[in-house]
Amino acid sequence: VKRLALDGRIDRTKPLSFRFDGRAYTGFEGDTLASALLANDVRIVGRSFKYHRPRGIMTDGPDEPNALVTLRSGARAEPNSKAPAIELYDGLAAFSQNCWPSPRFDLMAVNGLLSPLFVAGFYYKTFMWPASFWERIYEPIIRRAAGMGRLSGAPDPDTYDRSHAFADVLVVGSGVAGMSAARAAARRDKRVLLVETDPLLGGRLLCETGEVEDRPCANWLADAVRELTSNDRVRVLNRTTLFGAYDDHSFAAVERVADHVPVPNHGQPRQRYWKIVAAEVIFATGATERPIAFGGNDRPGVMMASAVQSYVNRYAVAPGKRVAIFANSDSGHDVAADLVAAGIDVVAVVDARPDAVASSTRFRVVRGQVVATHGKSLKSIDVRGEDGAIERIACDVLGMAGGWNPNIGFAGHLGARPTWCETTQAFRQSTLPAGMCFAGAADGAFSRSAALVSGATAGSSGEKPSSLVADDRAPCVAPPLLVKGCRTKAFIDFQHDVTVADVLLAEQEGYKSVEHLKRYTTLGMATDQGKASQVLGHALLAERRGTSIGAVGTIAARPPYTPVAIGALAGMHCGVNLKPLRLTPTHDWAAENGASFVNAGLWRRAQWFTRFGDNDWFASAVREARAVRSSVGLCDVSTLGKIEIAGRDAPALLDRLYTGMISTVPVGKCRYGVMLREDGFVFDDGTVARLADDRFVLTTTTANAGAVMRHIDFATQVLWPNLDVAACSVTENWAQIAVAGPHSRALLQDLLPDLDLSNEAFPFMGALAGTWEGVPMRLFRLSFSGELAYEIAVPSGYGDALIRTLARLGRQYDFTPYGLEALGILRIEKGHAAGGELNGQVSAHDLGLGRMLSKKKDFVGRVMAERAALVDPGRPTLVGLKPIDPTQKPSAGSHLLARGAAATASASQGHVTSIAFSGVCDQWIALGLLANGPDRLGEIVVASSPLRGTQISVEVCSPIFFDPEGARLRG
Amino acid sequence: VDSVAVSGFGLLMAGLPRHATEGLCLRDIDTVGIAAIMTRPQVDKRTADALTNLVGDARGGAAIAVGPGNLLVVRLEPSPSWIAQLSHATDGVAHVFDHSSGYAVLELKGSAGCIILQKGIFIDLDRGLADVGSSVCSVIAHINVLAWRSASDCIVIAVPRSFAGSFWHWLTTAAAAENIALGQKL
Repeated sequence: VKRLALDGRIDRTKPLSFRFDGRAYTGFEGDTLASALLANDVRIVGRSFKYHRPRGIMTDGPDEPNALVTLRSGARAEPNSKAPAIELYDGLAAFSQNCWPSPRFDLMAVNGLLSPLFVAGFYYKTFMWPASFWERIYEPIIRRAAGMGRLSGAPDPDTYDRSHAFADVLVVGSGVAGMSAARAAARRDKRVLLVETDPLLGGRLLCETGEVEDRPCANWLADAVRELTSNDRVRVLNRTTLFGAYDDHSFAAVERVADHVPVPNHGQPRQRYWKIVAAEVIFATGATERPIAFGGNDRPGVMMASAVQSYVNRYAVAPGKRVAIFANSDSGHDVAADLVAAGIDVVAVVDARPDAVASSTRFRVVRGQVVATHGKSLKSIDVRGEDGAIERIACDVLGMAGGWNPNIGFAGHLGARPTWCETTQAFRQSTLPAGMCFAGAADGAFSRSAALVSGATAGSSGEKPSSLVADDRAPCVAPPLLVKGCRTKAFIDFQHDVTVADVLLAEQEGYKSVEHLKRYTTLGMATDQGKASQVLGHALLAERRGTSIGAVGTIAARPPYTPVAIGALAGMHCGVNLKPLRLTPTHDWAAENGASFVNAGLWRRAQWFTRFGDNDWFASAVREARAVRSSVGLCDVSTLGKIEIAGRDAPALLDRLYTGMISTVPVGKCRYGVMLREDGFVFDDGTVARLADDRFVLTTTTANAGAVMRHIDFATQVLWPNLDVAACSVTENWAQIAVAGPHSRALLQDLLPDLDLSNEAFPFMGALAGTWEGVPMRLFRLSFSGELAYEIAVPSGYGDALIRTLARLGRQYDFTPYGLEALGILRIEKGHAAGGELNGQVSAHDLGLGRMLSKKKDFVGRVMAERAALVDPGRPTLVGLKPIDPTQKPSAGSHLLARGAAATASASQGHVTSIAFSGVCDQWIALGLLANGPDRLGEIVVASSPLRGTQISVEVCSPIFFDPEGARLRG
Repeated sequence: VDSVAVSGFGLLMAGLPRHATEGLCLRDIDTVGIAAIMTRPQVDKRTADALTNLVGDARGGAAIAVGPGNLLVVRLEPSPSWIAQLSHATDGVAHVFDHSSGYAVLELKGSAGCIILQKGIFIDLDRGLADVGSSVCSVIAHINVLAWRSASDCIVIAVPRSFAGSFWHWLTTAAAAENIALGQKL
């Protein structure tokens, strides 16, 4: 184990056990998987994407391109997890990916021998023939060979959460700039939200030595953390990664709530999606160290110099015994100094700058460049000195310090394009949306002192400094470094195996734009999105084109900034939380009485009530319909839309909405009404009851409740805003129960003994408002079943009491609860149009309701309803259909064909819209829309279902199968 | 007497610990008056403002502006004639619609109330529900919600009654996600 004597940020009193590829290891609380693997001398962690080259740990954070592992197993397996971003926990199990049988010995490494074939854009040039091989052979092989881990395929057992946050100032990142920005904003008494990816606040301060404001980094940081966390105007979200910036100052972040434990606690989500709105945002997102392109720069042991520094200072791990640094800036020298201080042997600092000087006597500085590396994992490097001579230096770790790329991607999410800054040798954002600024290293203020000023300025004013903060040392400024004359592969994009040669080839083949280069080579398209590498690629492209990197530019960043699990994006919005259910006021009673429920939109409605002796749902439904015809049935119809219309002009409005005259309906009466759309087709139907001169309540179909309300709102707010009328949906406020059947009057009379419900006192289509045991009550004499029937409404809270009382009183009448299936039978027997017929393509004439189109007034859809095509008698019109063989059942949707006609679409004369088995008719009956329907009563046609392969002869008849005179409902 | 009302959340809350002292204390409010008040088109703004002041004295409830000239007025434990009184008071100026039974209403007592509701409501509740009587009208998990601060440590939330079960599912899931215990306030 390669632990150092330093304290670091690990807790040595809390050892943790974990497994990698089945082998047991130990680490400490505070470790990442990467630091623990390094501490256990595991250097080869996986294989590369295309060439299956051995890869080790390269960075210390979520920009890691190489050490991708599958975290956990089974349904909780998460492929492509970045080892440096995985917090170690007891029992952690991770697995290498993209290799077989192991990372050290991978049979797929044979791909490396075929590398001349796998050049940039090889898939555009190969697999061209024979064409039939593409889908059958090439694509399956390529898919199988492609790496990047595998999903488990099992349902995710964990839950995800969502929350919202609002702040005056959002600070992203908690390095020295972020902390100083947050403190300054908090001192302005702003509501501050500080978001940090890491479990600990501090950013690079956690990994570096030195001082801030003349105090040791750790002490300064501890004070800053204390100040912020003790301020109730400051909220800190650690383990939270901001991944998107959007319009209107909104941002998206994901919090890893339980990724650092084996299994979330009961109810605990694995991750939480945050939607954040902030008036000001300060991106103190730091900078990502830039790799250097040289031969063999992907070999395990070659790491970013900043990562080496992190593993030493934060995790007390020596990544190697003999460390070399390859740098073209002073930051590499700083790392070397830290390593020496930690007791690590720094064999050389190879400095590519011609004017490099020895910064310390404690390590050797070599002017030159690394041109090659050796060993399966790093054993030595070849250094080309100023004189061209090659010196081989033995080392097991090489730190690359090739300058820094400010993390500015979030501005790109909002369309801002960065520009190249010669002063900082990096892309910076010069123009930004209002209320947004970058601070610290993200704005090119690389040194701690400059970052401190930059952050404080941004936090104090909400604006970035007008010019670059003076950087007294700027040790990180360095141009992108591409070493020439290397004989082995020099990688630009490590995760996608894009090499210097690939970039040069792409340019040679005409891909001279950075966006084209990206698509052709896949540079920057991997899960790290090229955070470290793509500037290097763009510098190479610029060099090849003989222009500046500023002229070449860089690609547009888009969200997400880092990969986000789909589950996190969904948050808790799945299942009932995505599609809530609406329960009727009598739901519990229905469930107690054997109801089976069906979804009707969001409603759960009783479909049938199973009784002892019912063999199946069909038997239940037929029994219920028969019971309504012979005794009395109860059905919850609360789901019908209920809209109250009030105002002096309410009658005028209703006359304009309905095809029939509503203004003449007297108080205490109802009328059936039909609404048309503007195009003249039927929109909805229902009843209108007049409760007072200036107050009506209308019903809609369940499905159209919302649409009709919107239609009325449009009419009152846009078409006729000057009408003195108000409309309000009261569907939720009223429980409504249909009481239907010959004994319905007797049952209701028992319920409402103080009312006279005789036919004379309360005739068909009557309406009244009264009370039931002191509770407001509305009673309507309406019938959808064709029976003597009523609908009684009480406030929803009393719906349960009402149904239980009706059921108790109804026992003496042998009452039966009935559901949607029986309701369907009853309405088909009476020829009432419903969902199957009201399909948006029928006119009032089609439904036999042409007489309801008033000639005395105007109404929505009147003109269009009279179009020649809509009144053509040849249109399919509502008819009844009876199978010649009563035992045969035509299917809903069957085409109606003339006898002997071929079963082709062109021969179709209509279709079956609804089907039911009628107990009173003792056979299957159907409704349909048939061309010239009313003129064809008695004709035999064929109901043809190509899907089911059935051809059933049916007789065309009146759509009213039962009690055509309506004597029962008026009785 | 058969006509006993069922409250929106009463049965759903049955399993919660009673007399809870920690976490979030819930109380099902089963006696509430809710009315939509819509001003007539000829009513000028001054009159509408006067109406708002008139009905805004909600005594533990709220007056929530849900649209131009459109108020939702909530009164806890109203008199049986409250709707009639409102209609009389606004006669000639506005139309009144009774929604008293159309909502399931729940009181959330404790600082965790805002934490939980903020998970569902995309409105800044620190400001939207800052003062007693302040209110918001929003959506949680695709369910319309009204929320108002009834006391310094209490928020009341109302959801359409038919959605009470689904809202309860969201509420308990959200509380568990924040490790906030739910209890009954009797």
